[in-house]
Amino acid sequence: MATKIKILLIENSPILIEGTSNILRSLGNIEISKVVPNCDKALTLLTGYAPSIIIADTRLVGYQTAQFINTCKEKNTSIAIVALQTNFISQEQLDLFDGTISIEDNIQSIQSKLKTVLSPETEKEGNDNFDLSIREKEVLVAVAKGKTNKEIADELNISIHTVMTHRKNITGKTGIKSISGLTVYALINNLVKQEEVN
Amino acid sequence: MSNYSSIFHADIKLADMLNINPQLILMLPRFNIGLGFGEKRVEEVCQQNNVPVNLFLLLCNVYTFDSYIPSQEEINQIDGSILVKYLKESHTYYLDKRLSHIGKHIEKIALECGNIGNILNSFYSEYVEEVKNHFKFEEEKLFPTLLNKTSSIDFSEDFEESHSSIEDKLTDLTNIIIKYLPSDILPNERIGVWFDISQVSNDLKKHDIVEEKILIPFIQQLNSKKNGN
Repeated sequence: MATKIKILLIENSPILIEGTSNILRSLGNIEISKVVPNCDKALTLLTGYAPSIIIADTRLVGYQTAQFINTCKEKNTSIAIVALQTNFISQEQLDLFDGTISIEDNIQSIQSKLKTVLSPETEKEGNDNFDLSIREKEVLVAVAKGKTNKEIADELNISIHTVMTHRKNITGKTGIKSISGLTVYALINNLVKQEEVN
Repeated sequence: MSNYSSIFHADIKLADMLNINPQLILMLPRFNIGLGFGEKRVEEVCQQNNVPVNLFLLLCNVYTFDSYIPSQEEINQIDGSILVKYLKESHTYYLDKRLSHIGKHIEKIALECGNIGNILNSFYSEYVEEVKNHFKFEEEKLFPTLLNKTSSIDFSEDFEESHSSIEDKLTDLTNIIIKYLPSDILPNERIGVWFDISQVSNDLKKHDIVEEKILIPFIQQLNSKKNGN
């Protein structure tokens, strides 16, 4: 029920699509939100859509690995690109990816590989706590009161980038994305009063 | 780039298809196909109800199989007016049947929540408004393109973003109802709502996929025909 991690799968084999989707679905907080049959379609999608992870069948990436990965990261620096290795590919090419899933992997190793690929972000906070930190609560209250990121940054004397990171973490911990949803959460937990909202 | 022939084809029994994917039962009222079809095959049922078999199967396949990508040929063959009719019926189903039903449950829960209740109700109303507006946009801007085949339209990225914003609000709602409302408030009602929201959320996701895999490619090929002239 927490925010699902969105994955873009570049794959054209029905067996691999259904199989990968099912395995990832069983991991719980992951969702294959789009499937495309080749890299070009993936790049077109990336202009309007931001998955956290791209899983790309190595057969479809072919020799253009470096080019493809660079273009993806240009469009979205925080995206992780994971190889789904279905054919022989040089170690050099494989190393360009953020991670590799092989068709011989079992479910546990797939899960831990994806975790590793995602964790650089969560480790930044150094916070294993599922409760909101004091700072996060402050940001949440400000959001519930309808303040913009800039206003929150000014009020708390932090950068806008930090505000956005806090908001991302708040969503990660609560599973709530929309401003109105966060407002309800803040009210239920007595972080704001009704009069202060709206 | 269809990789294989459809899993569902005109020869199978409608009943068998429904056994494979029970959610497909929702297709029938949207095409005005009555129940009580016995052992009839899909082809027969469609013929008797004046429904184009190809479109019906296309929709059932896209609904059921994540990996199914319709070929350009299959898309070009579609009767745009019937596709529009199906989508409009779907919209009516969501708004008038599912969302209003869920709304009643939310109201019941909200009554027990004191002040939070009002906020809960307005959160839900906001959500329904967003869905209504999205459907309205589609019916007023997108669907007419299929019908008169003259105007062309550019898709903004907003279209897909609004799909995911609507989805997010529904997830938020579920989280609030299950995780954050206090434990003593109407647990059975909330569990009932959880199932209802889960079902409509899955159906809406499939609806979005139908739009992405069928509607949009169809409009794009209409556009390119028009530009080619």
